[in-house]
Amino acid sequence: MDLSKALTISARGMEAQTTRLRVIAENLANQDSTGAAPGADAYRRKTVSFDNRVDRALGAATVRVRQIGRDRTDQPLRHDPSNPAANAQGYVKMPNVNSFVEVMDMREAQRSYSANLSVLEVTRGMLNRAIELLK
Amino acid sequence: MENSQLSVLELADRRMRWLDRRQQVLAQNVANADTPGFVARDLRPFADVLGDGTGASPASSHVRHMAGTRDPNIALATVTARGPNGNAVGLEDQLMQVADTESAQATAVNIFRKYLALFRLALGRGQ
Repeated sequence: MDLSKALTISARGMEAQTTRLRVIAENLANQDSTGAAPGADAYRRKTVSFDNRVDRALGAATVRVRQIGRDRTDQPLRHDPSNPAANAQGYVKMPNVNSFVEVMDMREAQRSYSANLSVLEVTRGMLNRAIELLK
Repeated sequence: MENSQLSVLELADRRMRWLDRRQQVLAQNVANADTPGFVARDLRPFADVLGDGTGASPASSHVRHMAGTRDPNIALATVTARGPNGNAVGLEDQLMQVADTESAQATAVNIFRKYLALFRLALGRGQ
């Protein structure tokens, strides 16, 4: 039935956005995580990418998280000789997390999540209305 | 009788099917609002579908036959704007269409209900 498929599609969409939100939380929580050894890499920002795939069991295409990748941009250096991760010159590699980017991403995830939720609610209403024909 | 009353029920039935299907397509669009390169889809208009039946699809006569992933009734919507990642789903537009589909479905269901009530009346079980 198409309406119940629509419910599943919206639910998967919300799931994907939830994963995205989780990754954003990880990035924000780790924006000061430097490496342990001198000169070691700091935390690398994680990225999420979505993909629309056919779910054979469902018989419809649903969205899913294709992969959680790593942002390969350079990590900024900060002069902090007292840090255990500082190299011989006293520079520490800092995570390439930009909190503005993360917050913008978070807003977008929230917006997409609520759009999926509205579609889900509308679909549920349509389903209920169809069921009420039996009364 | 056959031609006038039954066809209304059948028409309402087809309309509801079409709207169910459309809701599924719209749900897919909204779910893919952040998928790179995804372009919004829409069903062929109901009036078109009504003309040539509900759209023929290949029968699956064997367990290994897979359902086709491409529906001839689904077309890509015209692209008005694309995001930096190639995504072309306008959320506001999609939600408007969802609202539209919902009210159209309410209409179809009500018509269906009214005609069922007429039949019940004729059978002597009306409220």
